[in-house]
Amino acid sequence: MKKELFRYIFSFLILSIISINSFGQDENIYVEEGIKEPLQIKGVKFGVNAGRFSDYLFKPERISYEGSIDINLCNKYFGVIEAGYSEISLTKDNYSYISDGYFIKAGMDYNLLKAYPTDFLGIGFRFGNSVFSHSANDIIIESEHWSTTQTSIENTSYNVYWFEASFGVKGEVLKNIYLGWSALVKIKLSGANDENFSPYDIPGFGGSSELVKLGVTYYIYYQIPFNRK
Amino acid sequence: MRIIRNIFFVLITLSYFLSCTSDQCEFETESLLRTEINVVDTNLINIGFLDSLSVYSPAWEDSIHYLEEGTANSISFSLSPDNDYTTIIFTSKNTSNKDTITFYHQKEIIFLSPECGFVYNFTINSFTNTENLIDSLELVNNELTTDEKGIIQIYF
Repeated sequence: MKKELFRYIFSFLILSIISINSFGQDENIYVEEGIKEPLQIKGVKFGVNAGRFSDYLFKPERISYEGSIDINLCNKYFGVIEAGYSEISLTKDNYSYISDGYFIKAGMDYNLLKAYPTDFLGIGFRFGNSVFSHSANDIIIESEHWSTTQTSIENTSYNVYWFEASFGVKGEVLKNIYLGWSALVKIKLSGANDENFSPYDIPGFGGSSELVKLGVTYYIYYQIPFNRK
Repeated sequence: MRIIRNIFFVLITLSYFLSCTSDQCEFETESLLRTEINVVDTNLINIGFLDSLSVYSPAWEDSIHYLEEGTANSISFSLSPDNDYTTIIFTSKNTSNKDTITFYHQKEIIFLSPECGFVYNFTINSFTNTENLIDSLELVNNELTTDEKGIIQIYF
């Protein structure tokens, strides 16, 4: 828990530093306030969750990847799809644990900025779904008086749904290259309620013991521009 | 340059705090049955039955002695993880009599935490006992978990 908290603080600080520095780099692309444009696609961003690479440092038992596609409608509304894969391989003295699965999230972002239309400071929501399985082997249970027992738990599959609300920032640091972070609140709606063998990590959601999870993600995006003035 | 310096500072601070985190198991890892012993027979009181009480199972290599491990008129032990029954024998060095209680139970495996690993919880379904010294007994809590002990009260 403590480790996770510092991870969030670390992510938040780094992304704050980078994103704040990126704002206002290209003043030529600001548009006049108050002009109403018809909804049209201004660009498609492809993103990679750079925070997942911090697993090498903070969660070496996890290998995970996450990418996103967002469709920019007039720099105001963004249709977003995020998807990823996660694999856990945890080996302890008294058990080994394996888990792997996929997740997909779909939703919208809304840009609150009016004066900086190519950048983003806004809110969003997602609905997430994760399909994964886990198992445990070489489980050793010791007892003071009884002999040590060894057992295993067979592969079990889960289907988890959750809702996610976010507040975040994306700044264009180079032409069509964006960096951004989001603070997330995730609320589990259903699935993986196994009290006896609670999953170590739900791909895309996090630990399964809480119904509400806080998180931070940070992304690097490349935008293919359309109709850009 | 300032950004790199700030990131470096954050990393150093972070590694200091992370070095303080613990991977040690901080929970109880055995589900126990607490046996509350009430000695009401004056003969047994006179021979110091409780102080010389020992509890053991035929499957154990050792015994639990009240004087060494008992507290507040009670002794705690776990049930057999290998079988669906557990035989426990109550005896005292000050008497040749002894009593046997056999608990019939089921177990389930629980993932306690990543640090602690797995434990067994037990549910006692029934029990049988001899009555050489035992007057009566009552199963107060038949669920043995790492959070809460099962409880049986035995009157001698």
